[in-house]
Amino acid sequence: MEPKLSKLPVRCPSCGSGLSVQSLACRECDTVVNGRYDLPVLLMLEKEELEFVLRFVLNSGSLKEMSKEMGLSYPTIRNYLDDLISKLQSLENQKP
Amino acid sequence: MKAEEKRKSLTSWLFNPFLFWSGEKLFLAGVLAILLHIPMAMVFNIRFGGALDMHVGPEAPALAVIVTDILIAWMVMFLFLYAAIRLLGKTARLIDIAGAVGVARLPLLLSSIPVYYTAPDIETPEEVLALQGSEMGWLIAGALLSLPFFVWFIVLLFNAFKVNSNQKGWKLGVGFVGAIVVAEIASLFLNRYFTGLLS
Repeated sequence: MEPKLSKLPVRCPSCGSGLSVQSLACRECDTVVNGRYDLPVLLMLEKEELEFVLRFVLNSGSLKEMSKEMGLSYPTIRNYLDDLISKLQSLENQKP
Repeated sequence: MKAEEKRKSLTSWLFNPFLFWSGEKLFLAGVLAILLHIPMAMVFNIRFGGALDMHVGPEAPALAVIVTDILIAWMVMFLFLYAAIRLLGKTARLIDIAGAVGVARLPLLLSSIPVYYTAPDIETPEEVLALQGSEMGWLIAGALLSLPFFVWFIVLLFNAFKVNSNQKGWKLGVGFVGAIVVAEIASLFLNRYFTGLLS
């Protein structure tokens, strides 16, 4: 059985502040790099939102194509994109 | 996406098909729904004298009156919903709203059937007060039977506005109620003017 991938935490479970990356490890030789790296805004999105961004890029930004592919109406897709833009803007504004 | 999961739900198809349906297909369905008003009005003696209205009369209205009624009811509603969306600072496609309003009217059209079979033979609102016994009972039964269809019609209109405007909170409520109230008033005036020209 493959290990279940954990969801990347973006908020501190203790105080609710944004988390940053402190340590990165090489899968081959186990070298560990320590430092303080801010998470890119896109990585702070939920899994479903990231999938939407991926589909958006793969469809060359065509909402009509996405609407056909996902079986949803054009306004539904546009609303989802508008909400995502608002969320990204808000995450951008929260960055230190 | 959550909306993708809703495709499997019958409730979503009955009350918010606009999550999955838009563009030319929805517009065509809306136009067909509007055209269906003509035979229904002829068979069940109905007048659609306002954007939210449906009245059964003693005899079928003239074809020109039916066409005028339905064109005003449909166009005024979708134009005012579109105007409300634009006033609230959002963009939308007129084709989606026109189609959605046409489809949303289907329950209103269905409500004419129970009303036709239960409506007493009266012509003026004053005659309602003179109704007695079983006639009043049938009138109330018809009103109660048509109420769920009217609520269904309003729910569909609301969801059409919600999906096309992407508004939330008070702006959604105020925008929708304002648009349908103004559309109803405007359609009554326009209907009176244009059907007056026909007589």
